[in-house]
Amino acid sequence: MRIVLLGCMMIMMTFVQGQVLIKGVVKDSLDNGLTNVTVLEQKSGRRVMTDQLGKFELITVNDSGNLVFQHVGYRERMKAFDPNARELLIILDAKVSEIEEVIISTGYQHVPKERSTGSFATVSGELFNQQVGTDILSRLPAIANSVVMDAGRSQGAPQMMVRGLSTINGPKSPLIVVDNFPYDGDINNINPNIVENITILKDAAASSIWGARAANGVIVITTKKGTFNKETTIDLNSMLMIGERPDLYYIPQMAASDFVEMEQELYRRGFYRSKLNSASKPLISPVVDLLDLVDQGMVSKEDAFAQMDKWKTIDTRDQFDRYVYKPSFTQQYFLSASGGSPAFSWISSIGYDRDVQSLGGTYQRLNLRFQNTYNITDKLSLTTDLYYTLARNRSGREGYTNVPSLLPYMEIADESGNALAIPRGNRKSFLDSFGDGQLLDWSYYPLTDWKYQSRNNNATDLLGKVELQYEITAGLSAGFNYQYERQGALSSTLADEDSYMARDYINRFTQFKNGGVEYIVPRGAILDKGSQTLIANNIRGRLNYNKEVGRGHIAAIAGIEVRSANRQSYTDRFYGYNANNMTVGNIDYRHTYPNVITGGATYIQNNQSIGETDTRFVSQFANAAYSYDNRYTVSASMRRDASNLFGLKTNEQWNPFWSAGLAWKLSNENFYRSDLIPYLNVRGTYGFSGNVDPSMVAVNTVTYANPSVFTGIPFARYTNFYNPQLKWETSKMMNLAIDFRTKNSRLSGAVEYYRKWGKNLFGQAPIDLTTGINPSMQRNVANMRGHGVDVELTTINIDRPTFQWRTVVNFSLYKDAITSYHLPRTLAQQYVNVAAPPISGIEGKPVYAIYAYKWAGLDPATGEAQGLLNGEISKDYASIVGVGTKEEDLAYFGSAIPTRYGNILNAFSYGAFNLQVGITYKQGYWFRRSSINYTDLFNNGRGHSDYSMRWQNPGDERITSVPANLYSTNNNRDRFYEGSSVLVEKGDHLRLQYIRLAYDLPRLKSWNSLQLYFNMQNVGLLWKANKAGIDPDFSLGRNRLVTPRTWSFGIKIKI
Amino acid sequence: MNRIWNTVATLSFGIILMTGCNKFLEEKSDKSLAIPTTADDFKALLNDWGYVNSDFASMGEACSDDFYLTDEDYSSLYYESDKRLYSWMPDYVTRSLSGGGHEWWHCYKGIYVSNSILKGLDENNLRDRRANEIRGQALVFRAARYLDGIQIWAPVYNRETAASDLGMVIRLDPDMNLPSVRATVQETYDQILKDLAEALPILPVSTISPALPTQAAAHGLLARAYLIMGDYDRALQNAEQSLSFQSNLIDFNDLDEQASFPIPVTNQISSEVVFFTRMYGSNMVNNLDIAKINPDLYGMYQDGDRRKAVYFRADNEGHYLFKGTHMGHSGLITGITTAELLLISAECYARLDDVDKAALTLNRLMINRLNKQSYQPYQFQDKHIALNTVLAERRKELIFRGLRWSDIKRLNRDGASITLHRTINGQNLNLMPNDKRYAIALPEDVIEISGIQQNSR
Repeated sequence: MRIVLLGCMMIMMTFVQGQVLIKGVVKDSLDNGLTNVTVLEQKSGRRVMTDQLGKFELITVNDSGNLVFQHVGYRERMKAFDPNARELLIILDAKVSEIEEVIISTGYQHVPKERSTGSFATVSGELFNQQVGTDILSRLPAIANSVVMDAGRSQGAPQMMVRGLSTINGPKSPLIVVDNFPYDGDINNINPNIVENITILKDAAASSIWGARAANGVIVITTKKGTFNKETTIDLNSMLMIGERPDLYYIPQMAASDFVEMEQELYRRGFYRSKLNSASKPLISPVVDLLDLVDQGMVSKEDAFAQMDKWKTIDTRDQFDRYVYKPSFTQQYFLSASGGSPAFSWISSIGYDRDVQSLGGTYQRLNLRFQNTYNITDKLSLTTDLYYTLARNRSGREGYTNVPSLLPYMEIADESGNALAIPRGNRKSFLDSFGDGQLLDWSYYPLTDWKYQSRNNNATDLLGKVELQYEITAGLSAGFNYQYERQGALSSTLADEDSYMARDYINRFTQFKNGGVEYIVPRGAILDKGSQTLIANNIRGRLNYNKEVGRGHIAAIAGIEVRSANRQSYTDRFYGYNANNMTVGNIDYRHTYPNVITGGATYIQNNQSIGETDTRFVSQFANAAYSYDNRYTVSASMRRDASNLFGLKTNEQWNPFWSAGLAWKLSNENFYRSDLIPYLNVRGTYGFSGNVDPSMVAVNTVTYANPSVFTGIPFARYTNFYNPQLKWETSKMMNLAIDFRTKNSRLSGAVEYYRKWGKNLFGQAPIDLTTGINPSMQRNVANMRGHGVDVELTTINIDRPTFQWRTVVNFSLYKDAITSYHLPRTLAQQYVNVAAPPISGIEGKPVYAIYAYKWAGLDPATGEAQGLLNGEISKDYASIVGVGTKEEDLAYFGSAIPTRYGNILNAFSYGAFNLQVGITYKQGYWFRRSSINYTDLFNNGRGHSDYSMRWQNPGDERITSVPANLYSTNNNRDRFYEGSSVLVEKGDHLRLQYIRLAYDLPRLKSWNSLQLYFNMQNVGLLWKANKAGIDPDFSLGRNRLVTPRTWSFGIKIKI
Repeated sequence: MNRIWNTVATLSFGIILMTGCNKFLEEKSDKSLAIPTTADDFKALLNDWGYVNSDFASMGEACSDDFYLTDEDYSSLYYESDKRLYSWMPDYVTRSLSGGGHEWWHCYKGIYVSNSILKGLDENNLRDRRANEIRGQALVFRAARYLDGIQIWAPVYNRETAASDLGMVIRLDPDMNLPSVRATVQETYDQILKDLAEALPILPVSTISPALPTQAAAHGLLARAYLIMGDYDRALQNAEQSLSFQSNLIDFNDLDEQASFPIPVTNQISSEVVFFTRMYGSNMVNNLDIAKINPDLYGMYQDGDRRKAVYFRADNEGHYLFKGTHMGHSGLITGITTAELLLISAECYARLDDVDKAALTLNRLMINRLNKQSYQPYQFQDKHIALNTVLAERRKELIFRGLRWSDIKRLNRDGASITLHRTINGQNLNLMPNDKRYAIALPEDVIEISGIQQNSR
């Protein structure tokens, strides 16, 4: 027996050594020979191309094995060969059919796009992976349809919007769903490498299944899953990203020489006299300190002016640029293995990301994932999914914007890079000598302080999912989903005794006694600890019905869902903390102690807080679609939500939503004959949703807070004011669309038109302050309508065997307008909110619009800004920014959010090289740029580079619009200038978001594929409408830095 | 069989969920939230010192003559509205809401808390002794706000014209949808007196802190109100009643004059404070570095007056600045102190021609203010001297309390002919007695939205 085996092996060996010729022809489904198909013999890695007739010949040493046939326009095929099959006929299917099989995931169902009526945008994994980075959402605006990041309405992080805004209050960003359930934790915990694809639910029919939380669109992230009957594959992705140093010179900092001269003049005018005479020794700038020392005779005039002349040449940004900001480094490693037998499929992955930011702060993330599906019987399957994240943040150096009271001429380091102190807290020359050396050093060194004070945040996130699927009868199945999430974050800020924070705090409470000192705040570190825990449970029970009935097809789902999210948090502070022996000091929080400088009675802060919130939802939902004869589809969905929104009676909590839709696949009709457009589908939907505001509660509610300092009793404050006139905010949306595809998919896509109507929108409205209620309270302010067009086009421009060029164009138009405004009286000044455009109340105008005070140039005699009052040129600023300006007196520019936006993606492939270029654009909107505010400059040291362009001499008004420095402030004049039309700019721009170049190495024995890639992201603006040098996405707020360009190199291997 | 079982299981799962639903949804969404229904809740609302005791008006003080600004400090004022206020401009003198310091809103947000407590106590039928204490305290706070506000936004109380002069908007219900209408000065004072009278029998005799009103606080506010109205009998009676609860005085001879804040405090309130309310804390008056003491006022303090050093410090340029606060830090109180009550009593005695009692009452205060070695008790021969002395002592004692403005108004009403002078950048400004600008302009944005009537300009 053994000999026979051995003999067989010998024979095989000889075969192996010999050379084998395999011949064949590759054809398409219409029997045409296909040229330039790559034919690969898997074991040896040998490859050839088919000729013009589709024929090929391949010589290999293997007697049997698999051949792989690849062509860009066709689906890949594998075919076995053995000694009996050496003449092969291979038929490749055009990839067109793949487009037909796009499966969209709503988070509840997987539906073929062909059978849906709603509006969905999908982002394939391939497209998604054209960008790199540690997070998911920031990639979407460059690749998805109808998604835009709006940076024009709030100064915080840009806000993602899908089809504009539906609700003004409530959760403003779209709902993020990971696989089946909304993700309550930090979305940055999800590793982008596990993303299979992303679906964006745009219209009411698509999103109504998610209820109230879907008001601003839904983004469903589908993760990679194991596949049955598949050999084990291993994927490895490793990437290094280098970020350029941010451009500090984008900050409109006032020139140091201007600043020093301005301070000298203000000093001469006695502006600082009261500050210098103050008993509390308030903070003053180095120039003022020095000038006062000259007047006191402590410093010679010559020395002082020599010093100040030197300061005039400083630009503190140079120092930050040199010593503080460094290139950022991001490393990403990801390893995934998956496979499956007939009854079992699995995928496991591990990812590690490490990010060293430009300020030296670090972010580390470890992700582990195990997903398995077992077919327990042929009717029952069980899926388990475990996702674990460990994320760590550690703070870095103090950046330009983090250093308090930083002025343009301040030095943070000397020539050799040693840290220098800058004033902080109180007057520096006073602190330097105060306390006879008995106090701790009171200097603040911005360059090195971060070494002694660091913030750490450690978060763990465990996400566990179980899904049971049972087929009751053919077509009817029951499912049960459960998701558990526990996210815990521990944060700590440790300010050790050498940190400015600890030294300052200890000094302030130090008491001089009998020639010595008594520490009220013990020496040692100050440690702040905080914890946030989230525990979320989601349970869903559902029945699915999916069946062919005659020529029709029914897909229906109904179920119940219960969700709860419990969040607990606390903060605590320890004084006199000693890390070596884990001891803390004793603190008297109950009595006041005089501040060592001012003598004012102050309490020691205890920084303790404790909180718990619990949000709960119960929902019922149903959704059904019936398709007849692959031509007509009708769909309907319903959902009701109830929550434990505080103060609502249970019977008022149910919140109904519904939608209905129709689709007609024209191209499947008998009368339809078009070779040009072989696929044509029209569809339409209509849906209704609503939103309830917390202040709709039927009672006043109060929030408790820590004890009053006077009475020691916890106090409470009204946070919700009962308003019997408040109504629900409701929104309706209609969507009409055409899907089409031309012959050979040269051009395919969809054009969608939608309208939406919002009623009783919540917003802040000017309120009669005599009511005494909090003026920031929400009321029903307006009705609005919006409409828009989304176009999604995919073109195959060039499709040669060696060279392909494809383009994806996403184009969106969005316009909204107020249809009625509910409040009888409004103030024009409310529309000119410089910090962030408010909801405007003018019918026919966009919901968020830019209005400005009309500008009448600079006064030729004084260089003061001039406005208009009752049609006349005026400098009565109090009236102009007061009630003297009516809304019709304002200059109207247009929408504050982009009305035309989208992206253009071009993908080129040449042999093994792939080049992808992503461009985004936003158009049709306006923003307000910042400029000099003299009141702010004199009082807070906040300058602006526009200062150097100010009016200085008569005639300057012809070349500048920056008002003169009159060395007297009028904050109404500054408010007028800041809100004037001369500072409004067009926001339109075109941005090169990313360039990706990838090279696929020839397939070898040791790997199925190996790709090297190079990415450049945030490349920069290609064009912008404004001439002020401002990137409109980084215009709102002070000292904004443009997200720096990144360069990445990576490798992807599949084994 | 299996099939049926599964259907049943699914359905029962749903039914269990739906029935457990109400209980599941009854959990509070935020543990710190409450619908105020119990006495404890209303007590907690009353303890919100940031809304209830704080942010009393500073605009009157800003327009008065106890302090002045140098030209440099005037030009460095951040808000244009503050400059307009200081220079007695007829309009746009209120800070914008976003700038902080909208004193009209401050006044009414305090009133809102009182109104909602009063309504809540009634709606929840809380009528026991403890609830009544809270009710009484809410009434006192409401009265204190109206009394504070009417000094600012209305002309002085004048018996002949009070029934037609424009007063405050009287809101007694928290419902925000009720329209705002201006009441007359008479109606406003009637409401103040009514609230305090209603509060008196249900107020506690003592509380844990002067931040919570007692009977002494209500009597103190009544004394202040009657004094302004010119009803000296009732003012005297209430001042004496208030003092019968608490008459503690701090002997300034015992204080460290060199200290930054010499008047001793416990939990940020001195022991002379009968009822604690605080002036809005960030404007020119509260910036004790720039509010220079009027030299005429400083000159009124005789040698041996301990207040000269307890109240003031000199800067390097010879200006005097205030430091004699009752909070142990730069915060200024506007509430009632025992010293104010003694001064009300003494003034009333003088006005009622009881000069001996006037002297006796005044001396109770003076012995704690003047140097023990050189102290000479006052003795008055005639009413005129007595009254003038008491008024001078009143001005010297009660500076930076928000009282000077209403004092000027009532004294001018009675013929004192006090003209206020200010010099700004070489320009002389005068505010003549009984000028319309003694009723400060209501905020223009409030007028615009509510449609209420502006003070005549």
